[in-house]
Amino acid sequence: MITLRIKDINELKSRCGERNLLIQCSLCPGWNIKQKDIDSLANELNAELKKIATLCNRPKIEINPSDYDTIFVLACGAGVQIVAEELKTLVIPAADTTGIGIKDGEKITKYCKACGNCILDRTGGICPIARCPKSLLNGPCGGVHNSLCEVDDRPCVWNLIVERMKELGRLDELMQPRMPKLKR
Amino acid sequence: MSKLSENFGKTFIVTGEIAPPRGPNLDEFNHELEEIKKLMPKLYGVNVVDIPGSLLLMSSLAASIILKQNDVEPIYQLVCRDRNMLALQADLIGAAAFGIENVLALTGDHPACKSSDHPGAKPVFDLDSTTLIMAMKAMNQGRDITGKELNMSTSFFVGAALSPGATPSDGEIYKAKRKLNVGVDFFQTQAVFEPSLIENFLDKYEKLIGEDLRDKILVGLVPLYDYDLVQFLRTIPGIIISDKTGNRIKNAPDPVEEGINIAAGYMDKIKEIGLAGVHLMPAGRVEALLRLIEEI
Ligand code: SF4
Ligand code: SF4
Repeated sequence: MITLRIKDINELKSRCGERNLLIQCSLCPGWNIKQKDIDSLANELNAELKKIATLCNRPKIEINPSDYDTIFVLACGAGVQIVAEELKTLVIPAADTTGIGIKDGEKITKYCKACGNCILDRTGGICPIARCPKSLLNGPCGGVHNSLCEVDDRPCVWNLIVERMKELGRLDELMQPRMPKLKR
Repeated sequence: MSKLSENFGKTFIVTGEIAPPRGPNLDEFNHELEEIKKLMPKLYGVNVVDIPGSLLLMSSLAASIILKQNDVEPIYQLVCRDRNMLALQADLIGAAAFGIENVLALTGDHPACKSSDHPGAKPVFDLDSTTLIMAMKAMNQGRDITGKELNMSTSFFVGAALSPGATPSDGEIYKAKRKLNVGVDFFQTQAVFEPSLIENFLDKYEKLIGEDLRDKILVGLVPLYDYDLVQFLRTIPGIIISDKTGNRIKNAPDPVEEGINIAAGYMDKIKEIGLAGVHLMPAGRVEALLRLIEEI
């Protein structure tokens, strides 16, 4: 699903008015964040919480914007835009959209960033575009140390790709250069 | 033909390094350049670093042009972090027009890496070290990366970095082979403080790839000038300094002299192993580097 990270609470609080509303898309936010944490976010923002079914289906939104000073939207960037479009008013994104992720127990890891040029068949099914901070096509970079990435101390994804390509017996392919898309 | 490309593989190569200034005042830079110029008969090129560690400096292209105009042969370092494929090629055309031929193609540190002073800068990485090498090889054939003709071909002598201390080293080895596949002319390594590190890397390369890499490699050396530097370098991923080497610096009456002795000893060892040469880096103190070059 789409991965979300709630924005800095003080930054959000600074946008609050007297009458606040927090719109929650029913799909991805609940997958990313426990409902009790979303409830307490609404509490902290002194906002009424309203869940709306799957915003990307463009549901009818029956809200009168003039009833509120501030409308926060907890959804991906697309969901926030739908609300703004429907209500024709300024809305505040409550979260940053960071990509498309999977669950590893409690943890969510970004696996795809919808780059529009999927190369998974050439990288052993592991995405360097979303999972390497430099989105390298020909990694690893010189920064890998003890199998960790120089940028965020997570496992270097290019190291994982090398291991996978070894398992798949595709080292020859690994040693071929990959060019970025040069034409649209 | 550059002095570096002309002599590479024919004689033991020594290259040096200089950092562009952090501001438009050139006094200190010109002074360093004067000192390096005196040593030029011993050097085959001087690397000009490109915003290393994402710490802002004058552009490496501008500084390389200044070197060129002072008859010091530059090895122009170019990273993929800050420029898209148009800007990289545009700067390369500019470099070629000023007669710069040696280029070191680097991916570059991420703007958010630990040392950065601009962690919010947008990373580009449109190309990476491998595809930047390919772009230069295309330009040497008179074409840009898309295959469109240039009004003249370039004569780049193209280098790349090698990190023999990467752990695990497998990825580094396959990447080195990939760079050779696209025609890289030489490698310069990160600073190496134990010759065994490079020997082990070469052995593993030979085992995995079935080829000998030594005639392409300039081994990075830094004269250790005090024990603080030893301790600082030990915090950098991939850099290994043994207790024996560390203690030699710690207990020496003149650590600068001792650091130069150690580096000169390594240089002999590197010659003995049959590597192409050495790349000498200053690590913040140019005088130590200059003294090491004088020793050669
Ligand atoms: S290459 Fe990666 S980011 Fe692009 S579509 Fe495929 S999985 Fe997503
Ligand atoms: S260490 Fe690995 S994951 Fe991190 S930037 Fe380099 S190649 Fe990408």
